[in-house]
Amino acid sequence: MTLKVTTLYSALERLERDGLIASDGEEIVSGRARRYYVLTDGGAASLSAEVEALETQARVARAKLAASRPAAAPGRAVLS
Amino acid sequence: MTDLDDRPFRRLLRWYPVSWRRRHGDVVLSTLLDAAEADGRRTPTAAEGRHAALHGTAARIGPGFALAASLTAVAAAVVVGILWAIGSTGDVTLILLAGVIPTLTTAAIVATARLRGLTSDGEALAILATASAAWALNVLAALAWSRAFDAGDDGRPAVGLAAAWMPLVAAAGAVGAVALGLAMTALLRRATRRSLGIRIAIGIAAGCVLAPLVGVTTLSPAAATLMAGGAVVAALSLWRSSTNREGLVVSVPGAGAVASVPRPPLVPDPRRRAASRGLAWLATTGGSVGVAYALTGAMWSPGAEDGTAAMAHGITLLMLSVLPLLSSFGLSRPQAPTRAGGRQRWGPLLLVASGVFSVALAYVDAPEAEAMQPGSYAGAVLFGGALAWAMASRGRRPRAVAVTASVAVGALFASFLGVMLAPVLVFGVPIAGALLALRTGPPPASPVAVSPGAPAPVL
Repeated sequence: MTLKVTTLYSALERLERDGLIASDGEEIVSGRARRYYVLTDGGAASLSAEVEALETQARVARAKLAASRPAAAPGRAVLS
Repeated sequence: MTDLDDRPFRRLLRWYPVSWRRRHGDVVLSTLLDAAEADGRRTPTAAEGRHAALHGTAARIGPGFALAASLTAVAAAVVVGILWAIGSTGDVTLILLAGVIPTLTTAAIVATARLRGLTSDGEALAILATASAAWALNVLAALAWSRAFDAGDDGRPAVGLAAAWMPLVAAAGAVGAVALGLAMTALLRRATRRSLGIRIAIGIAAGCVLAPLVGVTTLSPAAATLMAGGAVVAALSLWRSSTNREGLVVSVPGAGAVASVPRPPLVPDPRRRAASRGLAWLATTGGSVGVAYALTGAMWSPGAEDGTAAMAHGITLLMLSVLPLLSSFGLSRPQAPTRAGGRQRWGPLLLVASGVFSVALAYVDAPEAEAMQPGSYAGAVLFGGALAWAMASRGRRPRAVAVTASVAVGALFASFLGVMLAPVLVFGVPIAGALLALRTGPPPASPVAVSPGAPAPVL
């Protein structure tokens, strides 16, 4: 996935507005401004919930995929 | 780092408002230059240009824009209220009602929705552009229909704009349906995991049903007033006193650890509770008699020569019943810890009480509309003042924002809704009184003091 710089800052601005991230200082490196962001407590909790939801979805998808696969034919050798 | 000319990249930032550039400009420029160096480019890509145009334009519809648009809508609604009161319903009123107020309200609500994360930047701009076109067509359709109506009344053929009223109504409805469809599709994206096709189909269907209803509703001054008031409330929700330079809400990490201020006790003392409950029942009784008199007085009361007189007397009784209801409400709250807190609680209630008294006096002269007007309007202004005071003293917002918005909403209420709503709302007094009395409840049982270590009673 490629994220345009302007889109990235639009997203960062929204995340900051929602209190999920916070600016953690700026510095000038080789004449160019750098700003650092950190996850807030709320952001970490939100991210954790998202990860949990993704894991649940992945588990369900894996279980459904396994259930839909036909059982391996007897006597068929698998070479690895 | 190379000697890359940063001017083409700086030009991209011109899409953004000054406040945004001040806050993010340097770091965005640096990141754009880093990305260009990594790709071996000397100019921004076309996609970067498009994205900057999109996000930069969207960044201009921020909290300040939402508040300014909604306050302008309120000012326009106040003008409509005044024009309506003096009996002027010409083209200016029509243009304000059918186009100006809805466009400004839409702008404020779209900006609020974008900042709340309910729409993306692209969706917000598309909805705003389409809705603005729809409202412009709505104005033309309303003016054309008005002229066609007048021509028909005079027995003249409809020519020019008047002759085009039907296609204009259809065009306004169609474009409005698209705008509503876009809004519905955007909102559904957050509410459901349905596919894009289904969401678009639901959006179009909802737009087709709602667009004509919305278009016709805007022609009512009451609807315009409610829309403008609602837009101010929505825009105000974006403002808190802990705002950054752009007036946006910022959550401070660890803010929850700030030492908590002890809260006043939630339950007022038993004597205040008892007084509150008694006054609430008094309001219920007085209000019930008022409703009964208003509806049936003409049948049995020698003082009510007809139904209109009975209704007027009943409304006067209901208005007077509001006074104990207000006192009951004030007493049902915990005692204000400071004198300023007391003023903030009782000041608006006192203004409402004065307004109610003023309208009650006006109803003594009912149904003589002209004789009633001074009392009705004085009441509406007092209600507006009460609303403004209550709004300004609630919430943590920058003082200038709170005062401006509160005065605007108060003026809006005073200009139109106050006169119309007061005689209708008073019919809810018996129910409000009963609810308040039941909520206050009987006094709690006297607590039994048990000292630690006291011996258990022997049974």
